Amino acid sequence: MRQALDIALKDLRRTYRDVPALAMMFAAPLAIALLLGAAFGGSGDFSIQPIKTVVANLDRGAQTGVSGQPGAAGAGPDLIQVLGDQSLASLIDLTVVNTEAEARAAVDDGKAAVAVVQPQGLMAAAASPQTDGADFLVYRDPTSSLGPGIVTGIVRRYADGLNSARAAAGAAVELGLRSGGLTPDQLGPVAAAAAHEFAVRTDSAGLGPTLKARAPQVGVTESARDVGVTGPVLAGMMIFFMLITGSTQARTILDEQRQATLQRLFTTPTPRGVVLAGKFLSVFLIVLVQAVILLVAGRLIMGIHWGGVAPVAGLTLAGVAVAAGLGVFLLSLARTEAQATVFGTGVLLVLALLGGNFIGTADLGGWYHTVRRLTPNGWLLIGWDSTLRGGGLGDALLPIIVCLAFASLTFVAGALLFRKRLL
Amino acid sequence: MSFVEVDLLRKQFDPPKGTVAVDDLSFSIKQGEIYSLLGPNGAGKTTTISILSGLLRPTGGDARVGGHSILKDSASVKGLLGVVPQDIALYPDLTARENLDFWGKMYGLRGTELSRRVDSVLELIDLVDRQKERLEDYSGGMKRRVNIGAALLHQPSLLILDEPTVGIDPQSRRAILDGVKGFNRQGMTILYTTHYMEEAQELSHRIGIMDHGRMLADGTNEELVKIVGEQARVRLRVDSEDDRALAALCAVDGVSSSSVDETDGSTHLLVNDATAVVPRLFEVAARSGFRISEINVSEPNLETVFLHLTGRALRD
Repeated sequence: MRQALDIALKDLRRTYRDVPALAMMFAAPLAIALLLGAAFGGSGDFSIQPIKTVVANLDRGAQTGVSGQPGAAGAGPDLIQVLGDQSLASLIDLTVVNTEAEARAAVDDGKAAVAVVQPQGLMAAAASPQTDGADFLVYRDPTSSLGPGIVTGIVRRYADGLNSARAAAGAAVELGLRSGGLTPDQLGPVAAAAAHEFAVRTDSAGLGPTLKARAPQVGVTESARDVGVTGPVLAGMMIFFMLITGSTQARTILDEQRQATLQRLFTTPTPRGVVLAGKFLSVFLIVLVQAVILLVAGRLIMGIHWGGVAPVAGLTLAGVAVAAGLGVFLLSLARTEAQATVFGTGVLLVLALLGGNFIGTADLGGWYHTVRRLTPNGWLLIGWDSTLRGGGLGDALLPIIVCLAFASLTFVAGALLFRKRLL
Repeated sequence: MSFVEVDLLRKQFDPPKGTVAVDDLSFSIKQGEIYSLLGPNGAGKTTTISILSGLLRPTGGDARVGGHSILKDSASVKGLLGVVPQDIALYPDLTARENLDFWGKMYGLRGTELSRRVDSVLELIDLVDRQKERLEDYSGGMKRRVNIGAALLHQPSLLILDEPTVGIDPQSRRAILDGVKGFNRQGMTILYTTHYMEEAQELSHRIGIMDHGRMLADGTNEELVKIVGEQARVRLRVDSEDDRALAALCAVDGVSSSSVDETDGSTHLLVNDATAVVPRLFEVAARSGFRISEINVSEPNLETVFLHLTGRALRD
């Protein structure tokens, strides 16, 4: 079997002298991950241009609580305090105006993407369930969607808080009246105190109207590590390009057949089975080296924390096995290099689309949750998602087992078909 | 004693209706001999050596190399062979040394022994100075030399060369022919295939003439030439494309066979007594209304033998 290793090492040497192949193996996945990572804020928090926002508070003079005047009764901070919160400083560029007209004009003139008007009597309405409600006005630039959408979301959440405070005040008054412990002149102060107490409690529980800006997260548990964008994207790209390399490398068997070196190998005393084993081993080795280099580059260049050694090693080997097995299988179905290229690329692209290589490790749920589990790359991405979030070998075990089973099946089927053809 | 014995070897692709490339072929090669298989393209030469070197499995017959059957002991046979394929079967992105190193390993050579053999072959093919350059930067002749060198690393008992001079310049061709003679002087048995009569004549102790998968005749150059007796070959051109011109020439007394070379349109005749026949050819031409514009008379040679045996020129 030393000859098998000699053949594999020869292929390794040839591959690393092929500049276009190197670009495809390393530069492409790293460049895509770097670009997407930069576009979505790299491995840290998600960042966009601050949203130019104008606020007019027509409810000036109303009592506020919690973040407003300490000790004063009220349903909580006003909208200016919420939108001007320090935690939103990088997200919202806030300007305060005095009138609704000024607020609208700022949007109409393109000076702001969105204007919010806090109506007169809002705080009183929040603290007094007997009164009529009050409506916020959100005036947005129709050509802009993301920024106004975020501000609208914050305002909606703030309004929900006020409505909850109003409901708490109503409940307190109702209970007081039923128990006979309240006189009509006590209703107002009790309602205000209840609304204020609600606001204090929700704020101290961390449920206040603040927003943590970070990369889109799907299916994250409370204890999971925040993985950012670059890690999942590079994992997806790494798996996709490993499959491409596996397929390309397997095709060198047809290349050797065309160049007559395969026939020459068959005239040497090295058995044909060993020659084929060497070619298959070379696919495995080359993809393995590619994976290791991408992992190391991801760590050193992009600062990606891939996870524990055991799950990373397991997933890497499983990915390499899938790439080699699939590469050999796809090759066995093709008669010519042209067929192998067209067919192989088509199948790998479909697998990548279904498995989710182009959307990082995210699971979009629904039918996609099932479909991605029908592909080996989908399973690999599930495994990498778990490992990137700090999961151990146990969490990645099922994806590893599924992938190794897939790799074994495709490799054995491909090797048998190919052996039958050549031997 | 025969080192190679080929016994009723047969190869039919896609039997039972496919092409029979080698048709019950038998011949033998003595130890230390240069044996050439001579025949036109498609004669079955490459298929024959592909079977001997283990690339193809015969559909009938057997062959023995150094006493080992190619059917029963293929691995031992392969260990005795050095095969130089017709195409340059090397890795263009590796250097000459890396190529030789790799092929040596495929023949089981390792360590200092491998290194010593590679040095020796590089010297033999005169590429010591350029051993670290990639093959893709070599000339065609240099690649041919490495192609041959890769088959010499393990010092084979039988060197098989499949049309090694096709498509190369005269200088490289001369170097290859001299090299083959040199390997033979060192005791190597050689099986050489070619469709160039001159190469077979110059190199070979014995020659086998093949056509359509069959062995038409085999023996030394002298033995083969005797087949056609005293017949000479006459090659001529006429200024008429009329088939009746050829028919008239063939009907001349003393002409035993004829053919037309499709590549240049010349007519080839085998004649019993050239001195008497040539004047008759001119007479017939004049009587029939055409003119002989060029005529060449050759003493009997392998080309004449092939024409005699097949009714076709070797180049047809």
